Amino acid sequence: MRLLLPLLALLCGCVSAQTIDAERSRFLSAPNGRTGTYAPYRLVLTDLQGADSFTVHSDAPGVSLRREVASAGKQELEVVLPIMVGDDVTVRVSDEAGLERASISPRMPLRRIEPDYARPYAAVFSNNPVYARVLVPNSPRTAVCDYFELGEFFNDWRLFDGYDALVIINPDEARLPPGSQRAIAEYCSLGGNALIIGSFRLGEKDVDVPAPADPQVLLIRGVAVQRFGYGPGAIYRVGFDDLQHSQLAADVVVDALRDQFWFGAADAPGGKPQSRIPPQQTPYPPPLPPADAAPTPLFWGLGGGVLLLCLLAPLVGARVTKRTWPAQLVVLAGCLTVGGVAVTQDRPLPTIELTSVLRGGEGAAASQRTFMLAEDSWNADIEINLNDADRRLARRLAGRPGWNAWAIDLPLVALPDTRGDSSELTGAMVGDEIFRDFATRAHRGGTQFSTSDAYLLEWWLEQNAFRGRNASLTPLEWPSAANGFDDARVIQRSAIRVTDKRLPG
Amino acid sequence: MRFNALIIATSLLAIGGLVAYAPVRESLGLALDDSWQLALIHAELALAPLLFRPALGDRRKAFENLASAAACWGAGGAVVLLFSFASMHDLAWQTRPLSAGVWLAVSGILSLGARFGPGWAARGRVLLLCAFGLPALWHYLMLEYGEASADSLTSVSPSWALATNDVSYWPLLLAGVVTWAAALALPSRRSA
Repeated sequence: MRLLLPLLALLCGCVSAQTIDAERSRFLSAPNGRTGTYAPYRLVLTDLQGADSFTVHSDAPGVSLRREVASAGKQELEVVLPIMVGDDVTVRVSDEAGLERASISPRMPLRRIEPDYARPYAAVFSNNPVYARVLVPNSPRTAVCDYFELGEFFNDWRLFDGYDALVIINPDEARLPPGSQRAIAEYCSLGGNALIIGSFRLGEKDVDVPAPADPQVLLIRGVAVQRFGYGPGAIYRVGFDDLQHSQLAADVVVDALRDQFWFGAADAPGGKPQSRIPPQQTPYPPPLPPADAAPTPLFWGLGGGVLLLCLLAPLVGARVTKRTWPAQLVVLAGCLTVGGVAVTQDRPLPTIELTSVLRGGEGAAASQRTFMLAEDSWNADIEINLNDADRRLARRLAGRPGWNAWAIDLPLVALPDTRGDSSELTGAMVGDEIFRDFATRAHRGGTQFSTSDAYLLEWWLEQNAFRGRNASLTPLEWPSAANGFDDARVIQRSAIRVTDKRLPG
Repeated sequence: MRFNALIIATSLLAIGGLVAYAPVRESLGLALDDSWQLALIHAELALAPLLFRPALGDRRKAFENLASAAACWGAGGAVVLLFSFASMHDLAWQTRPLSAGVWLAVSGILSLGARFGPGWAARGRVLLLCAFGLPALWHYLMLEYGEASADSLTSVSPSWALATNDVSYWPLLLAGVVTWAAALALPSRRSA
């Protein structure tokens, strides 16, 4: 009894350790959130009794993100991690042994922000929250904004996933946290727009990211704004003093955001703006026929063994005894053994089909969205370690029956070689053809795109060939080696590069 | 019958080879993948009432039939599992209980018939073929002409149950246990 009580107390201590404070844990973007994208979530962990480190999991359907966190003896800790805004999402905490300690279903943001050319969704970072709300107001005619302290600037682009733009208001040249430069570069390489008001000092040096394109100077409502193209995205910079002297400072900010969002045009383009929301329609070509399986020598050996067993056991049994059942039982035992060995034969690997859109633009920066279709005998979930240097982000898509599908975003990829000349999309026309005629000709093999590319091409054109959308489309060599799929047969179906073109305002 | 298992294994291997032959495979809409093994499992279920030959005679022969049916189940299973090299899924493992139920029912009904003579064994075989084969046709005819469904009969027809993923074992177990109990319980005839 003396031993039992301390043991029980110890057990209770273990069970209660690492609990999630559900009341204080929340989306930092609340009450806003964009369905189908990841938003920053502050997870508050309490009762960290004696745990040196633990793992936080952000589970969405088909995707599991995890981050190892060192608690360094603290009793309470806050972790910011990306969490999918959607249904069936959970946050879990597991210990070093992998045992689950706590889990919650986060309360989702109430106001869901749809992509809209008229109202970009922006994350505004500033040391002066009142001034930030005046300069970049959250209003139906301008933008939807979430406001943050400059000191809590995220060092991982995946926390910016749902935003169309970042606004950094920094008149005092305050130093941004380490990792900010890479996060901004990765975010812009994925088509994001960063507007810097004032200047900033980066928290780190010698970060290996591509340089932006040469600056252009735009005059927006009398204020000089520098624009640095960065792949499909851009970085804008406006002097804080210049903005303060302007009577239309808030309009300048909104116009600078719209300049990139509207591809340099004075009017909003037609259709829906590009975002990382998973598309309703997916660009999958019809699946290729499965690879023929070929029998191995083991198959022939076991097959012959079964026949010999079924023939010889009754013959030999008849010489030994008049009863037939012992021989039949020998056949049964032998066949069970053969069956047991037969299932150890090498099986065919499940098929994964990859289709990729590379987004480029000005400068060397580019990003890649890969549509991955995997037979359902492959893993049901994609696991991503947020601590890895490879900052990919996946989300589940609708797949064909018997298949699972994901879209995987990868920032800052190298531009691969092209397989042909570019085709220009201007005003829903590709060259002299309406975009649908061009897609039909691509299906027939009449363009420089392959017939596998045609499905991707047609899908992209259907999604994007609206008024005000000009782009260059190029067939590509496969952008990167398909590594990391040792347990599957990987087929690379198609890859195209899309380069957004700006319109003169 | 001493070589029941050999006949089953040889027939299944021959069917597996035939299905692998490209013109046959293409006409059946199959590929050398999971569908190949599934075709073989359907063949295994169909071969049980077609090819199993019970030994005619007394209770001792009935017991030998039970051992022979077990050997047939083992041999058929071994051949089906051999074709796992083409399959990504564990369908062969998952269908072993269904196959065992089929063999139990088939051997029980045929052995009970064999206790009464070859004519009754043949009637039992016809009964099995009708029960396993006709429900899907009956369902189609009822849908076509009676606008009613007979899909509850899937439990009687193992191949249909497998195709519709609606397998129930109780009719097979009931038929197998009752007929085997009767076949083993009937007194042996004594010669005058």
